[in-house]
Amino acid sequence: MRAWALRLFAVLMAAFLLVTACGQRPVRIGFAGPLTGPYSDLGVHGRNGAQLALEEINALGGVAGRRLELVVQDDGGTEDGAVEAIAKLIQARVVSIIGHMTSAQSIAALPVAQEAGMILLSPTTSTPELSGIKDVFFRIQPSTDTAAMVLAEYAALDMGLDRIASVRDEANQGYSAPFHHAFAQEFQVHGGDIVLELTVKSRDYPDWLKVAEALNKIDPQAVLFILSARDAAALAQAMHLKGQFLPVISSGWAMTDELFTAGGRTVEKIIFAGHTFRQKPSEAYSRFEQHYRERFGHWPSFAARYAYDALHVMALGLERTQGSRNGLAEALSKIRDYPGLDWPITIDAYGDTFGPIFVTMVRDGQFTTLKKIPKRQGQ
Amino acid sequence: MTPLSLSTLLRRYLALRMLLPGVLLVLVVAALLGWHRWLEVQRAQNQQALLVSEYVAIYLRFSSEVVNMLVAVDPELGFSQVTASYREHSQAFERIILLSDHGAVLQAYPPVGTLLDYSRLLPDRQTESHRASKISSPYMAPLSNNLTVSLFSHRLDGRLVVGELNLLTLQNFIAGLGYDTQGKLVFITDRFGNVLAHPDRTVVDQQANLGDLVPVSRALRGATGFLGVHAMQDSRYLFSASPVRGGEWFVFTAWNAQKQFFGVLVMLALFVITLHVLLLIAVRLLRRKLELEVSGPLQLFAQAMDRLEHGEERNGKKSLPLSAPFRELDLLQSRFLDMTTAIEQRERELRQSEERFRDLAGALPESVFEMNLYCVLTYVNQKILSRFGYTRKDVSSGLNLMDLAVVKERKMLFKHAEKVVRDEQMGPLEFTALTKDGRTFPAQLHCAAILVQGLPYGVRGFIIDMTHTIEEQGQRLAMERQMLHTQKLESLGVLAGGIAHDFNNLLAAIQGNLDLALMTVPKDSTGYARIRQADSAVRRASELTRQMLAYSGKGRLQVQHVDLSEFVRENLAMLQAVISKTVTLDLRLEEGLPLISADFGQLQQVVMNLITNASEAMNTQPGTMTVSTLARECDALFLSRSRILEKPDPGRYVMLEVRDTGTGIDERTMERLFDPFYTTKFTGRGLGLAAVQGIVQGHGGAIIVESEPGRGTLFQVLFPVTRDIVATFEHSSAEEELPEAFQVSDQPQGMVLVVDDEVMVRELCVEALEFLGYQSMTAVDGEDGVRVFREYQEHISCVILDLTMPKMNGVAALQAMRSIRPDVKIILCSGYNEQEATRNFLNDAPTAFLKKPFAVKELSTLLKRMMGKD
Repeated sequence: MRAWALRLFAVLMAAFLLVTACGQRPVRIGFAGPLTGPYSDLGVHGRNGAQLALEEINALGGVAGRRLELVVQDDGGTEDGAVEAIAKLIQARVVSIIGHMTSAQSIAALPVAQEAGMILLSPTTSTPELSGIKDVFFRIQPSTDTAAMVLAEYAALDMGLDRIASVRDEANQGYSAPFHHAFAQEFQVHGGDIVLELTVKSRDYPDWLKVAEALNKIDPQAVLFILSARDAAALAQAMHLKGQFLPVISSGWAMTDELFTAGGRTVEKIIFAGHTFRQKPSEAYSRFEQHYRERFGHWPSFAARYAYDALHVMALGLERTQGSRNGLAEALSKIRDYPGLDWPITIDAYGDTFGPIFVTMVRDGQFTTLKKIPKRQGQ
Repeated sequence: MTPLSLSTLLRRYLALRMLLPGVLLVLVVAALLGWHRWLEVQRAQNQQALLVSEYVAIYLRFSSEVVNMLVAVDPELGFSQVTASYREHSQAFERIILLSDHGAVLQAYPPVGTLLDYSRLLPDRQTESHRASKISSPYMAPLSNNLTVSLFSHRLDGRLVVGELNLLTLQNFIAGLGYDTQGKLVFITDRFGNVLAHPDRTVVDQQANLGDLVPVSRALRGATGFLGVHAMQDSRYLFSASPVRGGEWFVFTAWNAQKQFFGVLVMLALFVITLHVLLLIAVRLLRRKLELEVSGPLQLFAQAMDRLEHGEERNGKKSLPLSAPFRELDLLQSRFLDMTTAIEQRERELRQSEERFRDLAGALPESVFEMNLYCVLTYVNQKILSRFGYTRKDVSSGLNLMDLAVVKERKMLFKHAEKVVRDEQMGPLEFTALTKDGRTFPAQLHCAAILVQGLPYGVRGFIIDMTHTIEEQGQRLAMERQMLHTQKLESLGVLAGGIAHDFNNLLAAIQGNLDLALMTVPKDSTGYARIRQADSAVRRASELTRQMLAYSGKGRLQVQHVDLSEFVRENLAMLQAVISKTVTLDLRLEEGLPLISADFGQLQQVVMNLITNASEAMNTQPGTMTVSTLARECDALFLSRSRILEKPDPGRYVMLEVRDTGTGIDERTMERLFDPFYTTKFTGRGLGLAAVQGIVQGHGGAIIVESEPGRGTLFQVLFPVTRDIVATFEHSSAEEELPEAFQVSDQPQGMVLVVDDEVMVRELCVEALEFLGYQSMTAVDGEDGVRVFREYQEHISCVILDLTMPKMNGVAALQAMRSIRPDVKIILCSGYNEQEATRNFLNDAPTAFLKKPFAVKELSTLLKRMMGKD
């Protein structure tokens, strides 16, 4: 009699554990980004955006009946940090990773991820170096050279510039170099010329006044910034100090709130070309912004938006694979016209995406769209 | 499966009974302790949160006061000094900035470098506040990687004094008091969950937002105090929250649940261990006690019972302790002792009964056995072992009843036993017993079921060896047959004798008359020749009757003393005439043989018959006949082989042996060899050997026959040696002498009384007597004869007395006459031979004997002798 009861008890316990374990085991998604360091704005916003998306999905029941869990790793904005972060996330047995936020880190981390077969979905990496390769790298940010080309075209044609200087951050070579190259090429096509190329290393706390002075000497028509928001703001401030009020065109990299907080009014009238934002935000967009602000106490930047979209896309892929890593790449490659906050996202077989390019300008502390160029085929 | 010991059972019972309450107790205690600790933790944690939040509030207030104070300072006059001086003594603020109303940086300590525009910083970060100073949400301080929060206050002239708090002090404070070995930590967030201070610096550096934690979100929504147990960093923590007054911050305390209750668990564990140990000790002690008082005595009791089982009653009783430790055992023991006594008594009685049986069974001359229902022998007496050749070991290895019978009859035996067991009344069973070495003997089985309380338990019985019985039976049967046979022969003999006797009388009459006629008739007359022929014929006829009488043992004997060897030699010619040409005669006649008393004629018959038989036995092929004579001593054993029923006494005998090498005699023929009218010869009458037997018997001898078919036959005829020699007479030749015409006296010779019941014999005698010159008287029978004798005894000189007469036979008449006149001369006249006839006269013997038929000359001679004796 006793033996019977014991056995029953054991069976019930086992069943219970089994059920609960199966049901309760969350799907762990990794997030790798610069939470500290000069690009921390991207990382923090990106993380928060992903977190918000995750909380929304969990509130609706999760993915394949399982909760999502975000495992966050700081990559410090460095290549080494990126590799370490990826390694730690792989060790933590996440099913996939949202990251990195910058091209340099993505390029550095990719081999590690590739070896482990770990999907890297970057919200913001736009380096063309990772385009057209069938690997574990996916992104929802179109390749940056198209934006560079659009900017160059706009600068040449719309702004009538033909003599400009450029300042770029070497620390994010993967982004800045291709952008600069693409811009220069296009600019040349339209008869323009970059008369001065300046490079800085963001981590080394560049002397922005010196940079501003250097610009003064040449006296270009405009300056091209390929800098982070903070650096752009700092340089803008410096230029104002030096009494330079040149038009500034910039890569989309600097299009975060940080620009405003760090730059204040000095960043007015900077022109960007990027894949960001429309003039009239959609309802989803407004809702997102509201939620984000309520949740985190500040307005979201593009990093937050992209990361938000990225996590949703990832969740969609995982839904198809029932929360498993197996077949995730195929699932992601099949994403067609996912309604992103900014534009519908389609990922191709190489993990790349395409989208329209917006030419925006800072006006009264806001990014306003000047021009929209729809996505081109073969970009 | 053997049952467990009582001691084990009790201990297990106790353990279980103590265990369950023990477990319950532990659970109750655990619950109580846990509950107590829970409340304690809640209280303490909440306390901590309150204290910290109080501190933070003070910190904020103080910082605000500084900002407010700086606001009051004239910016042109003393702002920078005051600020610089302040910053030298206090690290509370990272930077103090004076901004224009547009947000442009006017003064900054330490300087901000190129950062001139703070305009975007503050409006976005503004939080609602009713106080003079406002507080911003956290942001990365420009030019440093530190998280900071600005306290700012508007001056009357519209300028702003901004103090960027050095949150590191808060950080250090938190780190200092928060994370200790007990797993407690304190952290501070803004109203969005952005971490402002955390024991782990990186959490702050990474601008972490903990709004996803349940307790944090609850606190942000207004819950305060103890917020329950939640997971954080893969552990479970107890959370409490307390809002910071005047800042819209929240202080959280998180205590590691495991570590908080660890102490409780340890205590519980100790308690459980102690309980368990106490339980073990108790059970151990109980075990000792149980062994001493229960198991031990019970085992002793069991041993005593075991001894009883093995028959050691006394030892069993002795091994019990005097008193039992508990009542039930005491009762058991006393009953056990009673039982033991009763068993002892019964055993004794049983043994006695057993001994009686064994003695009886051992003494019986028959095989006694007992077997179980499987027919396996459980007891056998010595007779069975000796008769069947088995050993005790054979029996104990499972010998069964069927083994004692031949294979063919085993089933029958089994069925018989079965019926016996089923209580069917069964008589004895005849079967063929089989000994161990394969010999068989006839046996008879008697058995009956052994019943125990009315139910069959086995079979008990005995086996009788029927060998002797059957032999005896066989012998008896043989003897009976023999007797019948002999009786038959005797009766035949009597018959033959009777006929021969009567016939003889007639012949006597014929012969007498013919004699007389021959005397009276002239010799040269034709009648004379015819009478002579008739006379010869009558003589031959009387020879035949003599043979018959001889066979019957009653023939007339002319006893003479004979040397057998001489006899054979003298009769050789005659003998050889009988022997066939192909037979070789081998004579071995011993010289100087003792004389025997024998009748010549009869002896001739014997010899003739034997030789004839021997010769005819060799008629198919040449052979040798050996005729031997010898004298020998014969003992009873030898004489017992005689074919004559009456065996002669042991002594000296003369033996005639006739051996042939002929066909021999088979067993069947041997049996009937001396039967009258039994013959193997085609032309035989079957009287030959019968006559021989009769003759030899009459001579008081013996005949022994040995034969083997194909080998030949040996006849041994024994004649007793004569004791007293009587004067020998000259033997007469074969041919009878003619009766001479002899002189008849004229003188009256005397009176002779003739007593005979046969009228012709009487008349013949009278005539003969007359012829011879005697006077005669007659009587018709014994009675008449005695009467006449009595009357005329003075005149009667001699009596001729017949033996066989009605009314009074010759024996009685003689006795009567002798009693009248003892010296009277009586001639016994009979057809029987002398020996036979005179046998019956015990005391008084007749003076002489005359055999019928007799010649007148014989009568004359005898009478002369009789008279001459006067």
